[in-house]
Amino acid sequence: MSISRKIFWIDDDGRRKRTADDIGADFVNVNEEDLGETVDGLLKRPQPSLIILDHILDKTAGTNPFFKKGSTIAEALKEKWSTCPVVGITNADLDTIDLRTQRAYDELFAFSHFREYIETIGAIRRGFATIARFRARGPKDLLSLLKPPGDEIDRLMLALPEDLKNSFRDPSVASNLYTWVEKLVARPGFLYDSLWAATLTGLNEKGFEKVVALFDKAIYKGVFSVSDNPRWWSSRLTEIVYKRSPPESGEMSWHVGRKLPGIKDEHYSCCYKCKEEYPEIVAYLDAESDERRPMHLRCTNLDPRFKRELYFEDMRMMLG
Amino acid sequence: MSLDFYPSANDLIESELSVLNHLRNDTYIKENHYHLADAANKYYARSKANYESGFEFFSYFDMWHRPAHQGKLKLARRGMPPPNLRLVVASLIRLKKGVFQNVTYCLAVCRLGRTGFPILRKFHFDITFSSGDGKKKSQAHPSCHLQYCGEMLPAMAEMGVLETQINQLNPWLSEPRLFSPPMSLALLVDMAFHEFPDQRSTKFRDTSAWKDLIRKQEALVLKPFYQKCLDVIVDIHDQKQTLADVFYVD
Repeated sequence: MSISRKIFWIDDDGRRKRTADDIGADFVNVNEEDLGETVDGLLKRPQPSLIILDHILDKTAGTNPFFKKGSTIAEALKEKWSTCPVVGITNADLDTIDLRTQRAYDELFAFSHFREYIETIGAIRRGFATIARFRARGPKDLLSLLKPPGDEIDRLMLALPEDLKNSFRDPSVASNLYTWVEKLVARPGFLYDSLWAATLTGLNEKGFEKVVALFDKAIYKGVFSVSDNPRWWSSRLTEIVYKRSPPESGEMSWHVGRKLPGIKDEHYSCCYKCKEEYPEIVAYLDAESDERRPMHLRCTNLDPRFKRELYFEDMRMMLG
Repeated sequence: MSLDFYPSANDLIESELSVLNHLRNDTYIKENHYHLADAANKYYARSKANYESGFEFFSYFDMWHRPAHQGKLKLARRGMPPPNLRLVVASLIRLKKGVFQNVTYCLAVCRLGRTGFPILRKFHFDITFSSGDGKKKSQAHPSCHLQYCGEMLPAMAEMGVLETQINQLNPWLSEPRLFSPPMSLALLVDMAFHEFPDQRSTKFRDTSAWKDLIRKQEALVLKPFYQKCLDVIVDIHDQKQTLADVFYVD
């Protein structure tokens, strides 16, 4: 199937055309239009590289409530264009939309923050196109799209969800792989964000910024990667820091990271709970907070909001 | 210096890394002994990047052990009694220019107390290498031996063991050093789980992947040792030596 470079933006709010124009999308205004007919017409055209879809389409013509929801349209579009990413946008509070409905989209964003997601949306578009062209001969081939360190491939294979292991040629593979990469990005384990990376190397985030260039080779540059919210392969971070500053007996990465060039006392990490040095992990402030700080393992316990998962760090919270 | 019954530094460290790799990826370990899995992951990365300086490992896991139980039994998670002992497992393989300087494995049994971790037992399994500089040790001892207590590990102090708690065991007294087979990480962890078992740890020990690791380490560190013992006992070189003649070093 041929895939065009076009982006369709389907919406019943004409004011969003300007945003659609900014990202080079064809705006399909369905205000007072018959949505079924419009979608039928679109499906006769070549598959686009991305569809952006308003989640609430209550200003379209017709009274059938099924056709007032972007999620219903998303499923119809996926039926025909299974390798095309569908991104939902909404003004509704995301927490009020049930997970089943959210899963109809490859991603669902709040329109009010749309500009923050432009790079991610670009990464989704490029990633799906790459995967559509890619001919995986086995699940290990899929992993090559992540460009992982060689010695992480076996663990990634073990961590790979069954649907990706068994259906690596299925048209839904791009959607499934995106979901998995999102998890790898969100949950520290294989990949670390800047706070985890800084803590692993014994530094605060300001200190990590000073030496971040040393860790270029650890940056995740695989499919769906974005530069405005980078992640680092944790195994490469430790490899680089240990090779630059070989550890003495008893020293771990959070000790030797402080020997990196340009690092001063003010760049050292410290435990948010006990104020002592060398915190080893990042934890939430409490079971309701989304704020995280570096802490000692001993100053935390398991955060009940998260399940323990093999190959991923435990999600912990500060001791009360 | 090397010992003719002991593996090369490379082979030993490679083998210990495979044990850490197993511990960090095992579901039972991760779900039940998070610190052990986490430490295995962190020390794996450390040693993999720094082969030439040797190998280090320190971790612990908590178990319930009936003889250590006092008072009425209360069940906690998954119908199991809450742990009452902390088992510390540690290893240090120190190299200089690829040559063994020191090899030691430690098992400590601590009570899980409200304050600190009183040490109930602590053992070191050491391999002693001649320094090669002609200097004699203050007292000859077996090149592979078991020592009761030994010095405090810095990581144990960080864990919360108090100096007074180790002093009760009189760590200044190194003797007797008991002639003993060499230890390895998988053999140490396996022994700890075997001696302080529960149903799940027994299943873990029974998995073919773990048994394969054990068998490989037995072949690596025990087979040559026992072969040498046997050679001495049957006197294949007709030298009329005792095990002590052969294994004690100055």
